[in-house]
Amino acid sequence: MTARSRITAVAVALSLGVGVSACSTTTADDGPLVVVTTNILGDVVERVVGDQARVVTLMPPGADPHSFEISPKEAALILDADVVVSNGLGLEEGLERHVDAARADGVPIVAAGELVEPLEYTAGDAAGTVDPHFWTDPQRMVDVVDGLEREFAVAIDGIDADELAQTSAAYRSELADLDAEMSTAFAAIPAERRALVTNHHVFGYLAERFDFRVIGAVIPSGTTLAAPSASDLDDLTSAIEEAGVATIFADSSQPDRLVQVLADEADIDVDVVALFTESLSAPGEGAVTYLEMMRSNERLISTGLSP
Amino acid sequence: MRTLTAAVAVTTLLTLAACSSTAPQETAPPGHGYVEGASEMQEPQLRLATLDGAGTLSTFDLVSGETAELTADAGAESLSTDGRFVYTANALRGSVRIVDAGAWTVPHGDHSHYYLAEPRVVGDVEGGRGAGAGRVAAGTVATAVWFGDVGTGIVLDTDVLAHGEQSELARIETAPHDGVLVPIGRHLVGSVAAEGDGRASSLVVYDLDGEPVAGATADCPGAGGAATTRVGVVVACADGVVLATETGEGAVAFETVAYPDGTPADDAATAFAGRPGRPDVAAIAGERGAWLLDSRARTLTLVASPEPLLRATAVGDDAHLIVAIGASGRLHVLSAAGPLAQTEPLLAHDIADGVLAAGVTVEVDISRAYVNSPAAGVVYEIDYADDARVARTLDVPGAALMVETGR
Repeated sequence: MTARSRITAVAVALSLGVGVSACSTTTADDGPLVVVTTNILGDVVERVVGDQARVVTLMPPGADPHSFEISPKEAALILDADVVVSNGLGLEEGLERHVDAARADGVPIVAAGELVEPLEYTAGDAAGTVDPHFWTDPQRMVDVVDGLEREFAVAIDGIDADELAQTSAAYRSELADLDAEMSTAFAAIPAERRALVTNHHVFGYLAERFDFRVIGAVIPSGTTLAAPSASDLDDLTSAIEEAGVATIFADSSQPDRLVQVLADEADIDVDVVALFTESLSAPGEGAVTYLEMMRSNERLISTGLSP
Repeated sequence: MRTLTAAVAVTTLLTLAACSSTAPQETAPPGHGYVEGASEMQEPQLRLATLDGAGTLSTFDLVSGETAELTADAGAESLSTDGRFVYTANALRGSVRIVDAGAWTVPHGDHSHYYLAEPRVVGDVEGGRGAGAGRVAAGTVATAVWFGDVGTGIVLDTDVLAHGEQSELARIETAPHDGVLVPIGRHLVGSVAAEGDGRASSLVVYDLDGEPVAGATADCPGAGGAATTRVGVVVACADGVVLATETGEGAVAFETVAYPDGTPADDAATAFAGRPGRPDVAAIAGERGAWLLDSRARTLTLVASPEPLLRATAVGDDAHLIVAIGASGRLHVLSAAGPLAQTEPLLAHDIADGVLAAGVTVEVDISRAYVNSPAAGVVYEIDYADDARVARTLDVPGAALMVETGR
C-alpha cells in the first residue's frame, strides 16, 4: 500500500517537474541514464529498457550488496541519473547516503523492493523485520518489471512507450518461462524432501514461492572444524536429520573438511553445495545474468535433493 | 491527500535543486564495516592478539596458526579490543595505541558479515603527562579513551579510525577519578566525581560534542567496570548495576538492575566480561561465584561455583553459560542451575598467593573459549559446550596478555 502511494507521488511530481531538467548535465549526448545499485537489478533493468537508455550498475560481480561502496565519481553519476533503481528494504546500507542525496537532489528513485509484496523474517534476531531478498522468487521479479516499466515511462524523457512495452513484455515472458521451469523442476522433488538446510538468509522468498522449508543451521567454521566433537555439530546434524536431505546448501570456507567431519563425528553423509545468493558472477561462473543465476540454483537444488 | 502533499514537496525540491547536481560532493568516509582493500569472508576470521612483556603486539591466526607482529610499544601493559581494533595502554607515557588488527564482524539483522584486511597501526592517543593508563570503549559512531588519572576523556570518530586515521570529536574534562566513559550510539555515558574525591558518584550523558545532556543522570557510587552489550551500556556501581539504553527518540535512558536482597557489599561486581554483541555479561561475585547480568531481561543472578572465581566471562547463549577460572586454576563452565563442567587445574602455575597473573583472560566466541597461560606459553582452546573439553593446546609465545579479534 505504501509502495503504491509512493509510486504515484513520484509520478505526479515528475510530470509537474518536467521543466526543471533543463540544466541537467553532460550525459545528454549519451541519451538517458539509469543508475542501478545491485548487479541483479542492473541485469533486469537492462532487459527492461533495452537500447533506450544507458544503464550503469554500481555493484561489481561477486560483491556484497549490503556493504559495497562506490567512488566519488560514481556518487556524482547517481546525481546525474534520469532515474535511480535500488533494491531498497534496507539492503544497500553502504549506498544509503548516496541514494538519499540523489533523492534530495530531485532524482527519481525506484526501490524495487517496494514494488513487491514483502515478506518478513520469521526467526532469529531479525524476526519481524522486512526481508529484502525478493529476487529469489521469479514471480516477484515480474512485479518489479511491471513497476519499472511504469516508472521508466514517466521518468525517462522521450522514451518510446511502445518499444518499452515490447522489451518489458519480452523479458516478462522469459521470467514466466523461468518460473514455470522452476515449478516443474521443484515439483519433481518429493514434498518431504523439499527443504533447504542453509546458513544463508536469502531463500525466504524462493521457499514461499516453491513450497520449500528453510531450516537455518549454524555451519561449523574454521576453529570448530580444527578439533571438533559431536556437540559442535548438534545444530547442523539435527537440522539435517529433521530435513532428511542428502545435500545442504551452505557457504563454508572448508566444504570438504565439513563433509569429512560430519561423516567422522556424526556419521552423516551429505554433500555441501554453495548456491548463488546476493550477486551475479563473472562470465562463465554460472550467474552472469539473473536468469542464469536462477537456473543454476534450480539445477543445484534439484540435483541435490532428488531421491 | 498524503499523495498530493508528497508530490508538491518533491516538485519544490526538484525546482530548487535542479542545478545543484554538478556541485562537488564531499567524500565522507563510508560506514557499515567497509574499508578499502577489505575482503568479505564466509566466516569469522578469528585471531588472538597478544601483548608480551616487552610491549610487542602480535596476532595469532586461530585457523592457520600463523603469527604476525603488528607493533611494539615498550612499556605497554594493558590490552583490550572491540573485536576489530586493539588498544594497548602505556601508563608511563600516558598514551594509548590504536591498532586495526584487520579482522572483524559486522552484525546485520539475522546474519553477520565477516571482513579481512591488512592490519595497520592507526596511531597513539596522547593523554598527556601523568595521564596514566587509558581505557578504551568503542561504539559504532564514537570511540572513547578515558584517562582517569587526569579526568580526561578523548572522543574519536570510529568511522575515521576504520580508515586508519584519527579525528577527535570532543574532549571531556572532569575531576580525576577511576571511572568510565563509554559510547552509546550518538552519545556517551561517563562517570563524574566530586573534586578531590577520586571516586565516581554518578553517571551523566554527553553528546558527540562532549556537552552534558541536561537531565540525563543516574546515581552510581564507585562506578567501576563498564561493558557494552547488545542491549546497551552497563556500569557496575556499589549499590547495583546501571543499564543505559538508547530510546527510540535517540536519547539515553538509565535504569538500575538491583542485586538480590541481602547481597553483601563485598560481593558487588566491579568488572564485567562477555562475548561481544550478546546481552549477557558476567562478573566475580566475591567468593561465592559469578554474577550473570542479563541486560535484556534486566536480571542479576548469582551463579554459584565449586570454588571462588578469579575471572568470569559470559557466553551469552540461550543457556546463559559462564566460563570462569577458579582459585585452583581450573576452568569452570557454570550455569544458573549449577556447575556443568571443569578442567584440570590448567592455570595453577599462573596463580601466585591466590592472585592470577594480571594478563590472564577468558575470551569466548560462538563455539570456543580461549584462555592464555603465560606460565606455560600456551593458549587453551576450550569447547565449553562439550564438558569443558580442551579442544586444542596452542603454542602462542608471548601471550602475557591476550584478546580475541574478528568476532
